[in-house]
Amino acid sequence: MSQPAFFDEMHSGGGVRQAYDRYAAWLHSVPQEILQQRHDQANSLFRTVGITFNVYGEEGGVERLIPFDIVPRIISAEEWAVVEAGVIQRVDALNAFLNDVYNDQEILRAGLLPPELVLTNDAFRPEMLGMRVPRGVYAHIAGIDIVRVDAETFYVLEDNARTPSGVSYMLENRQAMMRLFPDLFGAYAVAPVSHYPEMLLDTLRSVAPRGIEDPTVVLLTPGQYNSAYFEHAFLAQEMGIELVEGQDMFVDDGDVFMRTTRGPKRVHVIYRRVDDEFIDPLTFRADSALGVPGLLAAYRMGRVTLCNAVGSGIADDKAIYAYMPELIRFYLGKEPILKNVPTYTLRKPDDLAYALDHLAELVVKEVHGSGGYGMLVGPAATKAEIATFRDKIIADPDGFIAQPTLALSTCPTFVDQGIAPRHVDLRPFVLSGQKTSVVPGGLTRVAMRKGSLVVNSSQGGGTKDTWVLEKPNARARR
Amino acid sequence: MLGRAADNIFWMARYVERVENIVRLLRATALNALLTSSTDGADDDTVWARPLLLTGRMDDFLARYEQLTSGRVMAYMLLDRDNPASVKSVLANARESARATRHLLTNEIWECLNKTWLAIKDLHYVSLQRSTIDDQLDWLSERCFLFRGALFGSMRRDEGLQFANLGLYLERGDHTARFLASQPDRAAASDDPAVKVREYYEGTALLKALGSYRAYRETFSSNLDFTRIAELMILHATVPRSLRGAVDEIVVSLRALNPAADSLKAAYELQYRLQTIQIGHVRRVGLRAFLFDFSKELDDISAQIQRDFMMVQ
Repeated sequence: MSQPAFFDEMHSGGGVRQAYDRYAAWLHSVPQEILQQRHDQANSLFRTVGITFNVYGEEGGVERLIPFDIVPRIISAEEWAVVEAGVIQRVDALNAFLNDVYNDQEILRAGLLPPELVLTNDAFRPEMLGMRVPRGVYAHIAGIDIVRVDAETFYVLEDNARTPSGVSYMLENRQAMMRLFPDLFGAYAVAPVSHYPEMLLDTLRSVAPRGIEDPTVVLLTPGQYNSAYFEHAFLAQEMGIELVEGQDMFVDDGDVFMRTTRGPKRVHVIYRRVDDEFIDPLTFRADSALGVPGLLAAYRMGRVTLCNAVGSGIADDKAIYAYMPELIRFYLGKEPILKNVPTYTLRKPDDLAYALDHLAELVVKEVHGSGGYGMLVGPAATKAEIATFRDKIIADPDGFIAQPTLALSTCPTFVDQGIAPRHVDLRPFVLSGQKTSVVPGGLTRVAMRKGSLVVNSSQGGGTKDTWVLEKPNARARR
Repeated sequence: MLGRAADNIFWMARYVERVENIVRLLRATALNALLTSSTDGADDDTVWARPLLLTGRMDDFLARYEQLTSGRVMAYMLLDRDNPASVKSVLANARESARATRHLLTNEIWECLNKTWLAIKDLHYVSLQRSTIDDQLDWLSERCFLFRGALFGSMRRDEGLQFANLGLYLERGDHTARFLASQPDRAAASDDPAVKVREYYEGTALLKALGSYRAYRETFSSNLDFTRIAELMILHATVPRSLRGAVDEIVVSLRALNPAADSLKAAYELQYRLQTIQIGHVRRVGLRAFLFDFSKELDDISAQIQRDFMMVQ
């Protein structure tokens, strides 16, 4: 197989791309030792602040650092304009779709989606049928994973409409970069991202139950051993809201309260980072100690708002993904701005046959998988791995989708051998409340291993700061 | 503030105070051992048993080691993760409590604790050799002072700070009481010069373990005397590690939290007693019996705080 030529974010088209010009000149002039020094500084900074994630099932040193790369990923104002419009459009369609499938189900009546794909899906929550959520918004916080393959083409790889994480890295990476490389921020007009928590709080307050003027918002975490606990604590602190666990709340006569030092206090909006299955043992998993008994009933009565809404997972299901361009046209009457990766749904016999013939070229994912677990990257897999995976697919074709292996763009990255290209993706965070908006930036994830296309932190991926450049003169106007 | 968060802040401060007390105890023990060591270099069992007895770890220690040696006791009390009373274990608890509420703490507090934890996590038994052990103990003391500085210097004057203060002073009062109660019985004052010299050094070590040697010298112009030491550590409000000092702080914090709390009433009663008794009363009741009652009342206040503020049924 011939080595595909990858698009590089910094050098493509025979020279340094414009957004990187000053950075490339700087990078060229700075000695390796300085980079190494900054790299070490960054590590100790992250360790001290305790920006760690917990690894499931690992004994001993369970708190690990996500590798942070000191080379930023830079996006020009023009490129960002496309991404921004694209992800907002995408999330608007996701919310319209959710509002529809839990209420009128016009999409099913129009015959655009096979009903069984929705109605028998594990992520579909019949408990939500017929409920009107505030402002019709379900996915208040969405992370849209984007990859780029050439100068013009961005693909949406995945939508995350349940409890997307990683936004704290976007914020902390920027803090670290500003501390390590203050000069570079003098040379570049980088759009700020630090106001994200403020926007998030605005969003959460805007979906409070009707008639509540000054809502009490809380963040519900599974607890300090959860892999994203740092982020939960970080966001609660930045927003100045309580960080609660299930045991801290109770439901009394349809209202939700938290146990405070001054007695019970009513809660109106819950930014929950606990999965659907665990939020209410009376409705979902009875063995869950992470939830609050009776919460779903209070929610259905409109006494409290859950963000994201229960049942949002149906929108980011990998089987639904294939239909996203159709959903955008159906709900918004517009052409999709961002491309969808062609997707083979293996429940279809034709697609299955094709996929089994071409496993060595395809990426195969579990429909309900996430975090980079349980996926096959054909070009990088051994024959034995492919054979094992083939058996898994044949045993349960409905459980898988397949996509062509995309030529993810690369970005220069500081690794042991010096600066070398590594594959990256981008997750902007989209907020939906009174309106849909996105901070200019996102989380750039980078596959630290040479040639690897898997950027998930659970699979050894790292992160970079993402610089969205402001339009010339934007600074002067602010 | 959430009841659980208050509980975590309370315990964070309480654990750090406990670390400092263990460190003082070990330093005083090492000092005592120097004074009593025999010429053959063997360790004095009664001296090295003290930290184990005071923390209730003697049985566990003996089950694991045959002999009491200075090195073993130091290692066991500083770095042994299987010993829940070791500095490392207690610090781990402090950091976990902080981690659970870090959104309510200032970065200064969190980073102070996290750095201390990261450093002790990497500390090995080699660094506990005679030549470097004092440096380690000094460093730990300094970290505890830094923590308090961060706590009182950066936290908003609000509930969180009051709960931290309660944890700190409940632990301190409890420790001082138990430490005094663990002292061997003293015979009546002796005129034997050898006994007097020994008592001088023991009294010095005792006061240093409670961080109150200077306080004694500044308060009394007399020689070291165990009754006066007891008076200082029980009744004197100006001494930061005295029982009275601890109870005064507990009252201040509870009053700030809720003037109608039942725990405050109990604290007022205890404070009133310490304000109005003389050391003669303590001697008549018996020092140990008095201290035992005091510890019990602190425990009751602590439990009542749980009911008053943390919505524990």
